[in-house]
Amino acid sequence: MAKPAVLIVGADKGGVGKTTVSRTLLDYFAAHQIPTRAFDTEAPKGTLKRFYPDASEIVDMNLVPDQMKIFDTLSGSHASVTVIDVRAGLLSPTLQSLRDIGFIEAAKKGQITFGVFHILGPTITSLDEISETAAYLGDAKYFMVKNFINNTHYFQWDEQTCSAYFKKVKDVVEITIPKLNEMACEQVDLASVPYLSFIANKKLSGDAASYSFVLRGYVRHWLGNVWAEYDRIKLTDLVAARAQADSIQQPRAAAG
Amino acid sequence: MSTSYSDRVLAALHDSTLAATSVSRTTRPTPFYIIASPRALCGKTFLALLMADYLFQDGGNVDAYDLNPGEYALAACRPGITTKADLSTTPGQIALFDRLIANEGKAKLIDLGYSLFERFFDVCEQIEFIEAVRRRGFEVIILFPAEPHPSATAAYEHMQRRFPHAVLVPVLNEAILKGERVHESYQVDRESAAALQVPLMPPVLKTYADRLSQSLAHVRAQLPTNMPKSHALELRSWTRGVFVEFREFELRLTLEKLRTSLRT
Repeated sequence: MAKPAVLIVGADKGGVGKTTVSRTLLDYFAAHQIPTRAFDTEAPKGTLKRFYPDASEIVDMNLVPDQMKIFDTLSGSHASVTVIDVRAGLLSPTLQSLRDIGFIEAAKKGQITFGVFHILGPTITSLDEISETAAYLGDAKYFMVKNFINNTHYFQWDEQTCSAYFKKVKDVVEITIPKLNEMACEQVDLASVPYLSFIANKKLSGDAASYSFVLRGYVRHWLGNVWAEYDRIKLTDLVAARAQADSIQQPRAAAG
Repeated sequence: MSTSYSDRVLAALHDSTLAATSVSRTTRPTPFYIIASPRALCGKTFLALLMADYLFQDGGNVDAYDLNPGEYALAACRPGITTKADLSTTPGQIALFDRLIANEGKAKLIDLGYSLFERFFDVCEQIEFIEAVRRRGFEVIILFPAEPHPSATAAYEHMQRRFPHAVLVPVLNEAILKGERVHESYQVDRESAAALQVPLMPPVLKTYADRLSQSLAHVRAQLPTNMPKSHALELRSWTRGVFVEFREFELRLTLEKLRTSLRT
């Protein structure tokens, strides 16, 4: 059986596209038939929940019972992957909590696959978050996500500055989310359906919808490019890591 | 070309939305003409006008779209069958492509202005439009006015590689080519796509034809009265020649389809 995988999607800034990235991940795993559950930390209303009412649950990461709801159920859940969409400002505190409860240590020992999708903002301050976040990461897979969906310009960045920050994290992997046509983006939001349902011209109920052919085409093209990034980083291999393989590595990790 | 699992999932989803409208192989596909070139003043709108009139006389079932912002000459000449369209905004693209994709058995015709050449085909590629309309029972035919200019020949070759499922046909318009031979630069990749010839229309006739409010299809049935009879007869003869060329092209296409279906 595959060991549980936890993927955290977050940023300390708001409006950088955390939920968008979470949605593309949920669709990606659904397409690859990897059982996945999601937690939406935008308590009490939730954003992700609107698009995935059955697969996601709203939680408050500041509350211990909600933390238990996520982390105490990792092994017993039908889902091998848990995606947590962390609300703005809570990425560092969440990672800190994970360290406090021994989660980071468990990941280090290979009992859990742990990945962080850090959605970067367009300014240099978002790079400052990296140093703060890196302190809690342990052996997690760290993905820096440049999200261009809203036509963001990373105007303050240059290669030298970037690499200086990226050096602070071990094995950092960069992911680029391209721009999606604005109207297509709006219409998927308005329809409140996963991207896959929009492409398939279906409502949340599964009934046929009447979304624009043009907009469906744009979404399909865009999602294809996003998924190409996930294919590139071999995301399915990462989350489907076998427990047996880990059991060989565990003693070494524990010894280290 | 190999595709990833992710690509195949998205393609299957896309196909599932089109399957219900796919037509059987025995049904004759509905023609979908795109008159296109990246060059200005190469006779695109005149060719569109001729094809619109040809399709009109062939049962009157044609929806034409004029993509020449600021000019809209085809829409001015054939207002009853032509819709003005624009690609500069997403709502404009939705208004155009969402209508184009619907197959009600009517032929479609696009007069694509040179300024929108790249934009139009980029959008087509992104939303996989050519594939989608083919699955909805259309045969996509791109009529490309041939010219010796390198940018035209390069664009033609590029289109051939870019849209292998469309029938790309060079059109040799004598009024544009003025005797220049361009055959070697416009190789065709299938028998049915053999170059179409548009003979030179005598200038005096062109003056009358431009002023003509009625379709050239009507000229065949009834001679116009606002020109000398000799000119009217000559215009009718010229139109007949062009329409025969178009008809032969359609027959070549049908024959090719028939051969393919017999082989499979």
